[in-house]
Amino acid sequence: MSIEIREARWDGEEATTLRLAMDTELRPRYADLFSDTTSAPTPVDTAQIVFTLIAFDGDVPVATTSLKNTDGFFEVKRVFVAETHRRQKLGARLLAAVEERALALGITDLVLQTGLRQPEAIALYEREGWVLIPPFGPYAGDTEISRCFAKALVPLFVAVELPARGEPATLVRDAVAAIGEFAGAGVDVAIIGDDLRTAPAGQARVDAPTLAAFAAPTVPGIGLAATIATTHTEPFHLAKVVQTLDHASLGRAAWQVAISTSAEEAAQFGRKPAVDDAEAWAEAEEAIEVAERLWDSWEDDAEIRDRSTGRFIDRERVHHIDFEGRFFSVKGPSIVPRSPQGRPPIVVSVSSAASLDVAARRADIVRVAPSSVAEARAAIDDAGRTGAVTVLVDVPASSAISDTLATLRRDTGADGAVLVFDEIPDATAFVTALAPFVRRDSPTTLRDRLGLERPASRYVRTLEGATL
Amino acid sequence: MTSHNQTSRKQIHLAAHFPGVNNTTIWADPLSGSQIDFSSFEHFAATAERGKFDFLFLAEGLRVREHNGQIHDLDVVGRPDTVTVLAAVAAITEKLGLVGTLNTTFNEPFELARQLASIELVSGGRTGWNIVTSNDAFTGENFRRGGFLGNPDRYTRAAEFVDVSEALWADQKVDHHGEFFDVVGQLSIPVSPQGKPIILQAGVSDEGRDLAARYADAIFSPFADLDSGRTFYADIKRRLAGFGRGADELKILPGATFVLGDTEAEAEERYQYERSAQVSGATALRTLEAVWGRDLSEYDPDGPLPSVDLVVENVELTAGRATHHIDRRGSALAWVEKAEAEKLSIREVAIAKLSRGILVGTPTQIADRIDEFVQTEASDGFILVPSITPTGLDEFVDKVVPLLQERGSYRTDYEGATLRENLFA
Repeated sequence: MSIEIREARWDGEEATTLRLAMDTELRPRYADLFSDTTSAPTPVDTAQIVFTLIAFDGDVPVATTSLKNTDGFFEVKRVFVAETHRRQKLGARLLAAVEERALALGITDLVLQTGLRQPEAIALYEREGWVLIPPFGPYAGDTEISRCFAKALVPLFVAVELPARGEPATLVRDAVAAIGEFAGAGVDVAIIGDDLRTAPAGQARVDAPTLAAFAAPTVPGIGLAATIATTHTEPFHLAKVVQTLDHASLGRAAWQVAISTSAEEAAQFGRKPAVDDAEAWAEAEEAIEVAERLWDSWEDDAEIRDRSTGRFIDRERVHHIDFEGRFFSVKGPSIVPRSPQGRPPIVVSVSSAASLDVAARRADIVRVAPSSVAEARAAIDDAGRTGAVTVLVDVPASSAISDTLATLRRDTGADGAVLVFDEIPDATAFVTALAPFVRRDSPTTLRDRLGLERPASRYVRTLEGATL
Repeated sequence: MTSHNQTSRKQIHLAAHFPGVNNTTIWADPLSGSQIDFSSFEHFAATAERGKFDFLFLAEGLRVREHNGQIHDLDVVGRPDTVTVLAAVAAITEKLGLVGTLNTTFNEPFELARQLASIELVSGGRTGWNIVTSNDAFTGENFRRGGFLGNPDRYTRAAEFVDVSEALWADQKVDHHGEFFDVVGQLSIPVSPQGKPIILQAGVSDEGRDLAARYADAIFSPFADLDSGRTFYADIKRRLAGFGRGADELKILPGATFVLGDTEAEAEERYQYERSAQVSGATALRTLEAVWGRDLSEYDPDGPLPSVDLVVENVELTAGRATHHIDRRGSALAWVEKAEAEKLSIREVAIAKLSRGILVGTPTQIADRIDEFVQTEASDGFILVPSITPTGLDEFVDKVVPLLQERGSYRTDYEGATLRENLFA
């Protein structure tokens, strides 16, 4: 058998004939549910058809399907294989052809609807990696007959956020086990939350970067973002903490920038009164600038070990940063040589106008509410950012997570999601749910996962007249 | 508790100092590996744990060293954040103690106590803190509050810092208002299995000794010869009583390098190689510049010393390390006299002045020497500093540790799960 799949018109004769055969075959299955007048499928507006494919056996059309843009859902419609050509994996070939063509058009997510009395179709979609989701868009609410599926053609960026808090006796063990499970499930980054305030009764906390560093040597693959608040610490300290986490994790570190505005935290340090959100974020932005300069203060090839001159480093490639700002003055260089990622990614969770400004200007990962993605992207554009900025939406980590993720890009415009956990979870429950949406390869560094180049140090001096 | 065939012998405690950013560390040797890759820390910690060492020790310097206004480039430069790398090492070790040097001048008690309590939590009670103070404005340029405390102030501040930390480690609500700190809060980190981190101290001034006798569980001592070791040991043990503490409540551990050979001659040959590798011609000139207080880069390191008349007083060329020259002209004169008496070049006299290889010999000789220190109350053991990163400890663990175990002076397995249990077993 020589089958060729070609594009055709939705309303051309071959496609129409095949769909008629499909209606004829399926109508009896649902006869008791519908009166004759409503049993025909809703007429399709041909302007919504993205493309129609037909499989030919020689000159004979034997299978068809189409892709339709239904209110932003890219919906695979009317998958049909003629009875003469079944059990030859033609359905799977058609679906693969749809995916390939959709990807070429820049489409990242597909959905489809079938019916409960089409078990052979349901089996096909499950075999081909489609995920059952609640009825979407036009089928919403029809949980009786509709069976809807989704498939991500491009993996989502999936993060989890865990608190560095829990049962005193098991907090560390539980957290490392959960991070390990999420790593195995293909999650891109585990964000370790932190909070300096007194824990609720019966619970304990642990310093987030310390917990992340403890997880780093035994948990491979996953990015490790430690939350560090800038309000009461020194940027020199936090910069070397993040660099060291990057060394210990072989390039998987990130820093989630946070602030402390409570009187309780101010009293722990006794250095200054509590500051408001805008002031704290202004200080945080300066701390980010200091940290990034320190991360660049050693050029990548500063260590030369030149035996002939006895020099371990080329001191022309290790730089004072000479930062003088409103909140800090820092001489530099960092005591830590440049880390595997050069500059570990910055994560900012947006919770205010001030934090949105800092996120738009500074963050590699911007976290927003599901309704705020467009606003965040506009702010990122206004900030004139070049290079990839990953926008993630916070979603509650529930058993319905795959439903949320299946249509996340269409519903929110985000690049992925942060599953926010209030407690350290038993992560095993999420492994299966996340599988359809995460990437299958395992990039070495977190920057690789984000599609970010490893940046050269800003202090690299090129020789005058030198050509690259 | 392990059984020792000679239970009367005082037990030796050993610690492993990750080679630091100074000329003791030989980076030009073909075996020398990375000072920053985590795999180096992994190897070094695994060797120390295999050798049943009490703890891994990390030094700290919060500003890259400079000489004559430029970054010092002749020694190893660059190291990790102490707390973070110890937390990572905790994940790949089970019994080894994890001791970091952390500065009271450039940290806040709530933050540092929280970090230490966090390593305590992840390591199951294996942490130690080597307390250092600084009055060093050079380092202060990396921090917004700088560092301009006078000498008496910094010990008072350090004492208050430790008091606040200890209250926080008890995981109680702290309401402290003192001369240097106002701290109100609670860590919410459970009291560790060893109660609190082990405290180390390295100061040898009168205030430093009292601070140690009052707070410390161990002293990182510079007295690595028998006579000065015994004098220091007796002095500290005497001071302990003044703070209501028993003589066994504080261990004295001198820092020491070591050079091993299968024969005495081989050890001596290796020792000469190491001294020469540790002090290149460039390092010799830099060392001399620090004493003379001026640029001497035009001098030939293999030639004679400059005249003492060229010494510039009151100029500090070296920044970012502990040693400073007080009587510059007197130091220079001593160097010149030694060079003239022994017909030494600049480099040869620098080698003689800089190198300390107190443990040189065959494995048996070194085991004898260490045991003698401990049995005759010159120390309770040693903090060993290999010259090669990260494999420099391997030979010691393979060859000397078994000899110490044979004579019943050293554990064959860890006594307990925490650093405190092992240090005071």
